[in-house]
Amino acid sequence: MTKRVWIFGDSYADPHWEKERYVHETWYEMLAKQYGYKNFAMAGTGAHYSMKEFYRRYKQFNEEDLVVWVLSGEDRIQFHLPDKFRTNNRGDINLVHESYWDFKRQEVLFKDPTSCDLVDNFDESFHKTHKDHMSFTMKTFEKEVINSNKKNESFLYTISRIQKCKICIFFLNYDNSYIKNSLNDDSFYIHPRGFERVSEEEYSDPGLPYYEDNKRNNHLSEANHKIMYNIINNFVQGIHEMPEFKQNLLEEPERKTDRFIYD
Amino acid sequence: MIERVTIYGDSFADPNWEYIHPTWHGRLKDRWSKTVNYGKSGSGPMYSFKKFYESLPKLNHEDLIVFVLSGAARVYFNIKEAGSEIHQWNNRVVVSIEDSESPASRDSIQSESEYDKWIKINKDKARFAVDTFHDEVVYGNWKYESLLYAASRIQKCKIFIWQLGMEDSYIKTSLNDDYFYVHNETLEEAVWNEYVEEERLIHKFTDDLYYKVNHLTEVNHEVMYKQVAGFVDGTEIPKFLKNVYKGTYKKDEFVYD
Repeated sequence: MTKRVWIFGDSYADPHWEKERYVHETWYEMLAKQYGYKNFAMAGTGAHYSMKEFYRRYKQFNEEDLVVWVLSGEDRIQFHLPDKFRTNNRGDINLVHESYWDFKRQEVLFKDPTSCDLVDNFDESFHKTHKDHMSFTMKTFEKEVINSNKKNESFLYTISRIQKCKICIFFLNYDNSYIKNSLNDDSFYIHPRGFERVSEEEYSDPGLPYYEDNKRNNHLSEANHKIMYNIINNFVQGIHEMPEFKQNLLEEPERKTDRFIYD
Repeated sequence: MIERVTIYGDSFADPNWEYIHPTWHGRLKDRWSKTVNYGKSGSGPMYSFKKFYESLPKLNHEDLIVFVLSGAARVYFNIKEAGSEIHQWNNRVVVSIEDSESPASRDSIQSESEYDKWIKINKDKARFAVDTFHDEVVYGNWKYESLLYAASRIQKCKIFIWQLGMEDSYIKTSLNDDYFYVHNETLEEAVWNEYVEEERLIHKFTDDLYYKVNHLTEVNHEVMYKQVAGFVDGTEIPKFLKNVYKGTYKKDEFVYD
């Protein structure tokens, strides 16, 4: 019998959604009403960040625990932040995620600081002084990064076997899953629809290229927050038939900026 | 029906040791001619998995994978900046130099000058890299064995694992079945236990001159072969033999590499 829910992920699960907020219940708030609830999701991060939180906790999980994961981009790396750059607040985590590895060009690039959400906190000096360090790091660990979600989902699968907890996984892009839905059962579930497409297909005219305008809580409309909750709830209840995410709920994205970043 | 065998691991699997006696991996090759051995002294799983990731999608029920999961702390700095194949191992950097003329890859050379040169250039960056991926390294083997377990489910191949130390395993023997097997004795234990008891009391086994291959004596190589064969054939999987080896002692130091 499930008593507690633990949530790990990115902006699709972040309870501290700092963008424009719309008044309706989110999928994780619905879960929070039903179970003991801990949510470690943070916008802009990847599994590399979330796993650090997860490692500290998974050994206590048992058949009373439900773990929900949004497995986002493998390339979202929480680079080490040396002490002299630390402020010990949320901005530190944002700061180290503002650099990313371009796999094709084999170099570290920075997001445009003028378009960063936390522009006031953006400290370019870290990136300037550590560009070579980040490049060295990514070259060393590149194969591990590319294959990290394979390892993550496999680790979650074995945890569901050994700890006997329930684990429910959503990918940003379902193609990034190695296991896909091949091992789904009463304790382990990977949803066969990636969130990127769910968000895009909420628009009848997403436009090309598609830009996220963030005019939704956690990139999802209210109707799909309910669907999300129902998928998780069905998994918990042992109901194998899952509802489909709704499409064509909105006309087209507003184009306040031309910047698209799932965070 | 197994048609291909692929071996990954460190010095316990390295085929480039001096031939003193038959080896477990040689015996596997005798039985399955399509055996490829990627074992390399001094390497860690990060080195092994670079190759495994590439082969993963092609594996099927005709494949047997044999893994020696060595220390996850052996970070593989195989990049241009590193200059050569360099592994970090417990805050030391071990430069593994292969020399086809010299039969002993047990002589994995720790070259101070190479080390100093490399450290001078890269220590700061290497430290930053290890700090960035610290937790991934610490939990590395738990995740590697999990991927191997998932692979055995999805690809329907058979996977046999030896651990160096059981604390490196999360799964341990709990998920063993016809496709996946973690041996319940570690290789560290096997090496230690094969010394006769009185020798263990008198000497440190690190003082042994080491007239054996891949750290183990011939009889335990045969046991290792039978362990793998037992897993494949569904027959009994024997235990390592104990008290079977009397070392030869001088002052040489032994390092697992």
